Amino acid sequence: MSKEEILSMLSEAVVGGKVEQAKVGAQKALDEGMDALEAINEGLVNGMSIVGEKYAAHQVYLPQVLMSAHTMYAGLDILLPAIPKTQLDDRKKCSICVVEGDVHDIGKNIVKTMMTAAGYDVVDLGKDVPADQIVETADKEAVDVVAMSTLMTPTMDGMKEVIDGLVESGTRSKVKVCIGGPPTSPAFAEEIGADHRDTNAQDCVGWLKEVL
Amino acid sequence: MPEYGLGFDTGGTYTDAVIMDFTTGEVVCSAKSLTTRYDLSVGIAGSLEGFDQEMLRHVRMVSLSSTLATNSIVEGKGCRVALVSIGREYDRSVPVDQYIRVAGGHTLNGTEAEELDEVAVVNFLESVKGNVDGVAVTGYLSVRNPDHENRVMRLARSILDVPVVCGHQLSSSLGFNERTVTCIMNARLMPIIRELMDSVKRVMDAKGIEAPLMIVKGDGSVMGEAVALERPIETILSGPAASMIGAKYLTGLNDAIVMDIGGTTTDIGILRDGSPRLEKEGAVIGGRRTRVLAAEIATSGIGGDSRIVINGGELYLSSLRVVPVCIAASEYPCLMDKLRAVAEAPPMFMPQCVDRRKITQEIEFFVKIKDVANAVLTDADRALLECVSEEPRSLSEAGKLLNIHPFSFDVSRMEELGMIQRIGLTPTDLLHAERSYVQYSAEASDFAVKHMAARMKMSSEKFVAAAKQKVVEKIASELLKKLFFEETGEFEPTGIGLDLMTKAITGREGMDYSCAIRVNKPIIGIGAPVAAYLPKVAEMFGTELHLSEYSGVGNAVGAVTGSVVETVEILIKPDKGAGGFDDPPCTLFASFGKQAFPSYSEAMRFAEEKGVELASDNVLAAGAESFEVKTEVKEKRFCVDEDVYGDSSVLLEAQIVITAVGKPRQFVHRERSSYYTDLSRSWDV
Repeated sequence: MSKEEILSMLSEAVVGGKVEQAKVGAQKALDEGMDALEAINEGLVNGMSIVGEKYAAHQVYLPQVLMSAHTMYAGLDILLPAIPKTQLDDRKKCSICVVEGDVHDIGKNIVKTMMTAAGYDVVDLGKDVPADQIVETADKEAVDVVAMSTLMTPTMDGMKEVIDGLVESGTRSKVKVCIGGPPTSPAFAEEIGADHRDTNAQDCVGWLKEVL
Repeated sequence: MPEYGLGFDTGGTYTDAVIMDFTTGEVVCSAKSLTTRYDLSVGIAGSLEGFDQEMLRHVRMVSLSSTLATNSIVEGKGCRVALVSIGREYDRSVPVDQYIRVAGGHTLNGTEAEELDEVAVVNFLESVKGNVDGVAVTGYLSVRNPDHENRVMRLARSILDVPVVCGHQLSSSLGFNERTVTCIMNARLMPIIRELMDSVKRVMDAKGIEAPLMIVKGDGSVMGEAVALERPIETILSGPAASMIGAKYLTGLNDAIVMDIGGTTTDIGILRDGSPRLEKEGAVIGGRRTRVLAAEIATSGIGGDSRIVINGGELYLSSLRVVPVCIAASEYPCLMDKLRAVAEAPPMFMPQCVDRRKITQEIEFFVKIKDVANAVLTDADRALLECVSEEPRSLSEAGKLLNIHPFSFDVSRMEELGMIQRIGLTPTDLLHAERSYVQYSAEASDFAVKHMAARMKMSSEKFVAAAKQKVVEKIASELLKKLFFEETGEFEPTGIGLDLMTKAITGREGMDYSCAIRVNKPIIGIGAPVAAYLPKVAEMFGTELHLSEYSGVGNAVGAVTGSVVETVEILIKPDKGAGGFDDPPCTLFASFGKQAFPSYSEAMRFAEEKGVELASDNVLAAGAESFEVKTEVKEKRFCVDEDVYGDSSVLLEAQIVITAVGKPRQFVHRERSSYYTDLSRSWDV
């Protein structure tokens, strides 16, 4: 199989949500001696970008995006260990979570997928995460981005709490903070001292590329 | 009988003193003497010599603004400090002598994150006994719950007999590192400020002055002795702040640009609605961010002592501080003949130098200040240092005596190490030469100017005019930079901005355009040489200039007219998820601890009551007499999208800022009633 064939196999697997095809393609790429990073960026991520754009344009449904994300991760599981460590060192690190009190994490997972696809090293803290834990992770893992999400109004104050904690620990000046979720707004982001309010996953990654 | 206030400002070069009549509110007289860096009280006593000694007996209040604290921090002076850091490692951005990190600390909502390891604290405190002069205690999130800091403070007080200070006492703002730095600096300064106050009081005793002593803070307000001993860090950057308050008092203007041209620096601050703008994040001292509130003032290295230098036929003004020849000649009479000789001889050839600091002028003289242990010096430099230990000499003179070529000396290195002092031509000499300001030996300035003018192939008058123009342009560009920064947040103009600025200042025509900038606030000048430079600056920017008869001592006026201000900050946060309720249960965070309330309104009522009480106690402790209390509530609320969530506004948090402002207490003879009627307990809330 030629390099081009393998790359399009990976892309198509992600677009179509075909997990097995992604695994086979990833293994083939390694067997043929391809650069793992190239296989990720030109293959898997390329496919994910297509789906992401289609979703942003309301051309596909959310479950399809989730299937594609699942497929991409299956391929990444094989390819990522093959990347030499030095190549990974200069990747920017993002932490992402749903703040304390909220368990709605579909949106967060889509953003996480697009961040991974964009080449960021993502630390996923999951859902219902206490502010102190988010602050501690930002400090200890030396992340470049703190991304937070919530679907509900009563949990929005948790985002302000996190930013307070970042100021206290001295990490606020070292990180970019972005927030998302339906009840949030650019005005709210400004009020609590966040850097950006993301309208969707595409918007988030686009903004990160601009500021990092 | 008159009631006087006595104000001092000990600047980098001069110590100013004024006497103000409290009944009329007018400045009665002023005096100046040179600041004595080794012991400030000598300069302070010197400035008092010029006054009618009888008047000093009627002084009812003394107030001092001093750069001592700022200088001590920059120079790394102070006592030995032990730091106890609770629940977090301190990054050592400012050194400490003894350090321990102990388990403890709180979470963002003020609950205990980890139990305080009291055993470790006690062991550490026992181990540093006798090796420290002060203890700083800092805790992670102590502004949300001061309990651990307080417990360590109590332990430290019981074990050690030295002052102890906690982070939450100095600032209510988040920022563990900044609070820690503030706390360490404060602990370091405690003995320094005590020494200063003691020596000032000795001067007061000697002059028969019986009055309370106040010290100016970095925001322009004043505080009494007891508070200053506890929180000396708050006196940092007080000099420029005092000049802003003085400028406001002397002119009655509430909106203006205040330019204080001193010996060493020019400070530019902006008054809006009667107050200087405070640096929100906290002042930066010695390159470190603190949490001390200080007026935001731009300081640049142009002043009466700035060095004027000719290099390659061009005239330059450098920020290096030198001793003006007119002052040096008053101190060392032998200089006069040396200057005359240089002025009467034709100028020698002087090669151009890449580094202006390395070039010396024939009228520049050097004198030894002190030895520095372990300084790496060449033999030539060592010989030079010895040669100038008694009297100032120029390099060519020393070279002849030592039989070493003058180019072999590297004086700038010894200058950086503070071993040698340069004497040279300065803006102060220009004013002496044109006789517009004469305090020292004008003849010495004449000689220096004559020599420099000959070097530039100009007449002395032309040279003075050209050099003064340089000073005006430098001051104007510093002013514009400050105004640009206020507007855009950028420090250095570049590209087009720089071009426009240069054209506006020099009046130079471009190919197709020229530029003029109009400043929309009046300028107030403070400092001795303002009359010489600022009229041109004001004219350049099309604005008014306000100079008072007492412009020269404006900062000392500010010291004596400053108010006592104490602020208490309290934070109220609704319980998790309750922000959308009508009157949600809340938690209150303050320097006196954390407390839960069943409703927002109750928390607010308590905060205002307790805050007013605390601010009133603090302002009295800080030396105020009658005072007013103001409460400001800053609520952070947000509205969510109405279409989706209906009409609701959610409370994030409320910050209550209670400020008590009063006039300093004055000394009152027992048989007489006070000038201010006793209002001390009547709060105007």
